[in-house]
Amino acid sequence: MANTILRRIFPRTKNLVRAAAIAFLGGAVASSPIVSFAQDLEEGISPESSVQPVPGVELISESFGNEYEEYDMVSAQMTEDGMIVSSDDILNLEKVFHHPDDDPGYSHSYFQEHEFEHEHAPLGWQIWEHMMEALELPHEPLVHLSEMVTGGEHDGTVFTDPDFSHTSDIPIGVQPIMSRPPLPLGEYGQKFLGQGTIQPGIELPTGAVWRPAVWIFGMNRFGISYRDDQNGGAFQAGRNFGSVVNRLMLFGQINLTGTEHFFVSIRPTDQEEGPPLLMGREYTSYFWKTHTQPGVGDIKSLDGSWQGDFQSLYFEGQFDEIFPFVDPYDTEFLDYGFSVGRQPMSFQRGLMVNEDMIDAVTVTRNTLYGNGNLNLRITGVFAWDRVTRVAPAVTPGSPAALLGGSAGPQTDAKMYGIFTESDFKFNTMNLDVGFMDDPDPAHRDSLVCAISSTQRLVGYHNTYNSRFHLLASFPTEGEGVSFAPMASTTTVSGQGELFFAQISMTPHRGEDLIYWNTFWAIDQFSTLARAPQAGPLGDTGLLFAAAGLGLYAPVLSTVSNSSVGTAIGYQLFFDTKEKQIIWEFGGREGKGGDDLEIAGAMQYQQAFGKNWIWLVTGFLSGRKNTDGLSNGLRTELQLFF
Amino acid sequence: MFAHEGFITTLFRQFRTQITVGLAGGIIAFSLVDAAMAQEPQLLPDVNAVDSQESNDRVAIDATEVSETTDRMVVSTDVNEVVGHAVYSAHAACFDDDPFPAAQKCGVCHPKHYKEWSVSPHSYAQMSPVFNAFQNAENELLHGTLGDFCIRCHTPVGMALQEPRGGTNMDRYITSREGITCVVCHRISQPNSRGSGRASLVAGGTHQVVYGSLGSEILEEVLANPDEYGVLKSQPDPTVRGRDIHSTSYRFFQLTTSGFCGQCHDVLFPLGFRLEDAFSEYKSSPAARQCGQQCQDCHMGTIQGRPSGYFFEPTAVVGNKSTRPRKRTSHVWAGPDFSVVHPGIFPHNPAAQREEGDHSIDGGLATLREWIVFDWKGGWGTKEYEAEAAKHKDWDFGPWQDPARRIKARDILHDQFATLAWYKRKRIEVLREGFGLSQIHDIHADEKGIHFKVDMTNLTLGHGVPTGFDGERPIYLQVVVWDRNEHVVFRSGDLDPNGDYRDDHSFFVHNGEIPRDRQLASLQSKFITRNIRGNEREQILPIPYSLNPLNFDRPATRPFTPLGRPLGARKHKQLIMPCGEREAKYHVPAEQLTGCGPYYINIRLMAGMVPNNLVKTIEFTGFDYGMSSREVSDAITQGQVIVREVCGVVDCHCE
Repeated sequence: MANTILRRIFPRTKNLVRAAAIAFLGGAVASSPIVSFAQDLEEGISPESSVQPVPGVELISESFGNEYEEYDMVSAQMTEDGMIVSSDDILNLEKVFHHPDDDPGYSHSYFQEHEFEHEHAPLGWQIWEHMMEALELPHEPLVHLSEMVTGGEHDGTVFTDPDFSHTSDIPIGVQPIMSRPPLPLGEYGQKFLGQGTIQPGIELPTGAVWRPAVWIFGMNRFGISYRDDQNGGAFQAGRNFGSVVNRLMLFGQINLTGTEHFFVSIRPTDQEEGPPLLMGREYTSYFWKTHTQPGVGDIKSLDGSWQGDFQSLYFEGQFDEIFPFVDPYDTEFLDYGFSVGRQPMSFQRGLMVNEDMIDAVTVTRNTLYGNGNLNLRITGVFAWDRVTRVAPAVTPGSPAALLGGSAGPQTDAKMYGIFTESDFKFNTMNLDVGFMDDPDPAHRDSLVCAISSTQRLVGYHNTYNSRFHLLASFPTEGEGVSFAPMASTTTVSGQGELFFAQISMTPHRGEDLIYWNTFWAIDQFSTLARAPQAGPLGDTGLLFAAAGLGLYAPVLSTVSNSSVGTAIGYQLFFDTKEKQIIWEFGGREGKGGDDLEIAGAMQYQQAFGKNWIWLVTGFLSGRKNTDGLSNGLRTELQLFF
Repeated sequence: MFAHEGFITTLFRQFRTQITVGLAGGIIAFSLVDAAMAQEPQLLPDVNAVDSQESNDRVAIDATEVSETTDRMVVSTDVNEVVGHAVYSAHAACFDDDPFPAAQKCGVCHPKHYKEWSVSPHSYAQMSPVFNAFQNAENELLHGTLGDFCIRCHTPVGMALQEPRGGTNMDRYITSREGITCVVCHRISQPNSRGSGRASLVAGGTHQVVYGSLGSEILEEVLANPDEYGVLKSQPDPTVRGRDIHSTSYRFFQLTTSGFCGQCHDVLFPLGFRLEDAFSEYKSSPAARQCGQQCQDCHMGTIQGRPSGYFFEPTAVVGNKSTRPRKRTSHVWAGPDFSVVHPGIFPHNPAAQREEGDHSIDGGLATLREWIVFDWKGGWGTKEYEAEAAKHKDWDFGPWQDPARRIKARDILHDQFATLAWYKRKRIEVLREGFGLSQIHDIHADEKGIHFKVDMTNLTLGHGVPTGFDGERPIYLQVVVWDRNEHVVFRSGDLDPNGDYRDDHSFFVHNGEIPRDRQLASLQSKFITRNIRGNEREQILPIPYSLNPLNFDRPATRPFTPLGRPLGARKHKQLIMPCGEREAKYHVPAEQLTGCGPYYINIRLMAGMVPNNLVKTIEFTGFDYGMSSREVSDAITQGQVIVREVCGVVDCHCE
């Protein structure tokens, strides 16, 4: 093939020079040339006649009605030298891109199918997509199996209708919609998203107008669990039990504006503290079967008494909205959001920070941009109390996993951090750094850094959702930030790295999800702060996640030191997504390979009405050098009110 | 009224009794607006001139029919008809003594404002069948918990009056249907924060105080000179005969600032999802921080999208006399949205539209239900068609059986088309102020094919482009390359049969029927939802159903400020921020080439309203005005415009 010669073409016709120049230089700053062009538009320039139409497309005779066309003008024309942007051709897309024939129902169509040879995927993509197609193989059998299990209609099966891709030409009229369910525990003042007159607000001396409203709502989780654990996960430690557990959450919000509100929540039937720190919380529960390893201690449960501790108690708002007098024209750099008080907190999808109640203040600047950055959010965090640090380096199955695994709430530790999220053209990146200032010499300070990238990889056959995290933790000496040798690591402050990758895809003709998640932990990676009842790797799969209800621990260990793990899952949707079933297979292997574990799980979840979810999940797992299979079954009823 | 009875049955039941009423009223109202408009410089397309003598004659004739029609209604024994009449009479009575006057009342003295507004996106906000289907779909998928979140901005009056969220617009109160109408902005007396449209409106009739940018100096002049402006009635006193007018006008500072716009144009869900953040973008922009410009400077000035100053001219015509000139703001607020509904029902036009049950002589020509069966595409009312129709007396035109009425409707539609075409120019004007397209550069050919680049730029300083509802804004490049024989060798940005470009949201791509456009350059932001496991994925609607089989909207149970979003959903912005640009690279593979050059390249920057995959996704809730989703999506596709266009040629010399 050949050398390249580029010709820049400009129409030479006197009346069109300016218009064509604008078209070619359309990226220029809006200034006088565009004014001129706008004037040309008004004057109505006629294009040259010695032109040929755009090849490959045809003009249509009618578009939005004959009369409407009188106000549109002629279509764009092409000369030998290039496109002439006529005065009004910009009004006439509908005349240019229209399917030529055969399909009178549509005013447009897909051109490419038979027009030219299609692009072929390079070798790397071919290998990758074949691998992903292999992952897709169990999908269809699982759909059929799940249809039998659920009795539902797979959401994907509607795609067998050959006309489904088209918009419907049947007018069905405006369908009735569901009424708004009120918040049953109370809506005082303006109803939550309810119709009606909005009353005038209270004007503060700062210029802000507040319309206080109180909204109370809640959620209850009731579960029955059975567990026969032969091999012992990190927290489970060979525990067998059958139990009934309840967890109630009550929320209250004093809403002031669209951006300012107080929020409070309590969990009356469970509490975080109380030795031993089994799963981090004690629940109101009943056990009909218990058996634990020697030395672990008895299982405790609450006696049903009301727990009044605040789970959350914070205020959230925007500085510029509270003090509008400071910036009445909204032209100053005061667009800062903040939250202060006891609040849940999560960064890096829980891999770095995953607290359910931490006393902190956050200040956030959002919607920043520049240098390819399309939307940058920066959050500064200072946590002064209830910072929980959990050791990752305990031996799975040992009593230490239960008794020494958690350092518990650190009343003296302080956490500082800068957390960012940025949208770029191809991906979204998170770059975070946090420092734990812990005066306890048994714990030490810790510095944790993390970077992650989320993107959709566009293949030749499908699109692949992906997310990659890289985190590193470093113990530091005392007050400083100098890095300490490995020998100075503690149970809650280790040196290590964690690589975490998530890939998922949606097969054609459906909304199902196939995912494949993997982690690789090097040495002793320590999270910055997290609630004791959950491991850092819960995002790997259902097998790695705690139920958050009673003693039902992760099936596979979530210990994040010197280990690798993976999970492959299939989420299938039925009956317009109100029935869902998830099949998952996973495994992990720790240092030395002696604790290789593999497991499979199924979870079914279904919505009932506007308020109820029923969920049932079960698993089977095996562990190297251990006889027998562990199994468990759990069902849960969730009520939202 | 909002019961979903048989559509056609309802339609024709109403038609039987109200046709002639509408005809009479339409002519009079039409004449009034014409007279008012005649006093103004013709910024807008002129409405059809109607001979006044002829109009008066026809009114006199039709007035007889009005009384006959009324009699027929009263003596009707049809229960449905009687009940319907009672309901509509109550509706009309409400209109007579309404707390939120309709824009057409304001238009009597402010004809330019009214005409500009009548075709604006603000006036279309509630009329849009796409919006209504969208909010209905979201409400269904969120089990009703979305409440009035969306519609509160689109019809603040309707929500204040506790109208149903669903149902057809044809049953709504006129001011509710008008969406962001006069009273929505000029009856706000308190500054509001970013409250997603939840502002308190001051209720009251026409005489109630209004809130404006300058105060009441000119209004006081008018009220003080009845000999010049005629007798005006600023109080609801039945003993006074005169034109209704608001009693005073207070200056409301925030109305002139961006913060006023921000109360609706930063859409923050209670869960913390930032659906739109045009105002937040503005606050970080050079327009705000360096130029001190306000939203109004660009969007209410003489040129849409450019800080070009304001009109200096009368703002009102009272008693055929214009008030003295002053700053006048444009009320068109052109944007990427446009009407896809029947031209008889939009733009708002008192000469065209009549309320159900409105028997007054100054009502419009036809009700919305009548208009939507008027086959304007089929030629009804044109000379040619009517000549043919005269030969076929058995043709059924439903409520339009009278040929004179069809001809009158056609006349009105000419005015509607002119207004729509004027708005289209304004739409292109604002889009061209926002989007730039560089010339094609870095063109070269080698053994792998042809390569070239082009840059899209943001020409504004005030916000990203596109902004606002950027998660559903199809702004993209349409690229065609063809050889010397006019054989197309490459396309990008071409449309599937639904009218979508070939991204993952295209149903044809998703269903594996056509390949994805891997080189698509689109500025549409993406809604991203979290999966139960396996990261996140793009979805057309930002509802994370993978996480939960029961999705609902409740106050957030964790602060959303630190993350800037909730855990379950977010938006991946793809727009171009102020002063920024986006490079689009293209590669035409060698196997697609047909030999030696030259090859011609054409690139168009296209702007649409919403992608048609959204239309398909929400079609299960139905579209208003008897439209099918295909009708809607076809109109959406046909309404796309070319904002910029560039060309290039690659001349490949064979060795």
